[in-house]
Amino acid sequence: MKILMKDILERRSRIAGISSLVFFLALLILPFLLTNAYYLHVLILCMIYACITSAWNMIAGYAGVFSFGFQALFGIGAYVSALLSMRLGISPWISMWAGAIAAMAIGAVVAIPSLKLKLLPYICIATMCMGEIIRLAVANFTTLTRGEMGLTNIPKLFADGNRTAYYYLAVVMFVLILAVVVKIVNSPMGMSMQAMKDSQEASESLGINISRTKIRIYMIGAFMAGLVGAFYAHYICILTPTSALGSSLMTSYVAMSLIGGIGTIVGPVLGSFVITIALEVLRALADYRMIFYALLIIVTIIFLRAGIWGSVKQIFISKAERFRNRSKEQG
Amino acid sequence: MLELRSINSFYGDVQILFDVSLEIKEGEIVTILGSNGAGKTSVIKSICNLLPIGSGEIYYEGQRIDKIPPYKLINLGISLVPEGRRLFPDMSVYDNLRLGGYPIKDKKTLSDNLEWVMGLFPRLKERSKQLAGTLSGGEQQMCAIARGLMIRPRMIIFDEPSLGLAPVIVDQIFEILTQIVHENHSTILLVEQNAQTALEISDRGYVLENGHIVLEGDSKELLESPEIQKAYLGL
Repeated sequence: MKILMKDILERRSRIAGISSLVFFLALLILPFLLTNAYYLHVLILCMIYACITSAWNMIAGYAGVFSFGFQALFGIGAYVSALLSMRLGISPWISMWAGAIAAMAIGAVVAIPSLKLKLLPYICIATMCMGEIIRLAVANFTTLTRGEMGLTNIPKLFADGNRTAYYYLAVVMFVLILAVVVKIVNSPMGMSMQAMKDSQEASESLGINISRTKIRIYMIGAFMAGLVGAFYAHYICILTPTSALGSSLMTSYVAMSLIGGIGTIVGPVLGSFVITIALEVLRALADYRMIFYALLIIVTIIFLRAGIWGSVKQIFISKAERFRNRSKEQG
Repeated sequence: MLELRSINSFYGDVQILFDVSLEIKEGEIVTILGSNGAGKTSVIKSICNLLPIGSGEIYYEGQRIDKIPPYKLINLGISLVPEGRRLFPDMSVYDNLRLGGYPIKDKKTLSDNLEWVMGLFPRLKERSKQLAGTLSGGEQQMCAIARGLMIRPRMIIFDEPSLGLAPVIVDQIFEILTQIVHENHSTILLVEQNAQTALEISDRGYVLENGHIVLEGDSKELLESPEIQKAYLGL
């Protein structure tokens, strides 16, 4: 029976490996099957959301640092990269990295004072305000950003705006970001992050420098958000403070994480794909589709507290536990 | 080994510790007794700098430690087993213990220490793959103690290890505590409400009331003192 238990655990990780491989292969093959460019566009949006939601989930779901101003980092990456390439004529391939670094720097400026706050509500409020301040600054600094009139004609990454090329670049970015998130979560730092989430005092007394861990993880997440933002800017080619820095983006990140399953790797990805595709499918309903969105969130919070993936996981764990108990009784 | 000199501590504007002084010598087991809200946990938090002190001084082996950030204290060999256990429930028992050895960089030392604590608590060895949150109360307390022992601390601070446990388990846990002292020559600061058991295993005790130390002395004397018998032992 003991062997069986091990089998189940091994099979579980094998299933996880195989299914993620299938998922990524499907992503690679899809452009050959989907001839409609609109479908590719939706998938690119899905991946953009999946990247940023995964980054946010790494900080909030694993480390327990609920930043509610994460959309601002996305927006900074977008605006910095767009402005550098438009005003200074820098290649967008280079300015993207500048955007990511700018987001990381701003992330550090926000993180260092606000993450010293130990109580969660203070961190939420501080980061939320920072996000709004950045949005207002961009909206009102019209000489540089044109405010709500928005930046248009942002240089493209691929001269002809080739959607398939954008698609594959999005896949690469998505795989890389997800790989880094998985790597971090399973590293010693990931372990101290999760410890910190459960009890700050206990982890501090075990020798974990919680301020440093929080700031580090926040900066890594900010870099990811900035990079994704820059990709978005050079893909959509139009930026307004509302579309790139609006707080409704933050709502989406939270909703996608919650519905998919916060604190898991698969959850935010699943949530991003499900929500983005569902909202596109329901586009005929115009703004009424937001009712569906709201209902989905309410249903998840009441019936699936751990989100879709979290609930699946719980079923797996309780099954494994049952096997363990049975094997104990027998031997 | 550890000395507190007239500590005053505050939560915001509210003062909770008044002029608390106490001393723990190497190899001793010292108990701090007190009812709910007497300030027992605040003493511990002050020692570990989880609650920065308002005034006073704290010395550990002659070194002043009240300005050292909490995560560095473990490098001095001070380990805390916090109140309510504070395990990491979604991690396995093994990972919890592994985190207890967080500051240990040397792999050999880490695995030696793991073996040592698993030897002290064979139950944890059986359950090392189980999630800590699914352990029984007694097992969780054992896991918390084991986690605190992972660095082979020279000084261990236990905050209410008997909280919420059945008397049989409490006896087991206290037995292990005394065993640790003998085997590892650790010094123990024990904070307890369970006066009888705590005084039986400790050398000396302090009694805390409303943030003031009102009594101190050898455990035997305290056990026999009429105030203690009346207030804590129900005799």
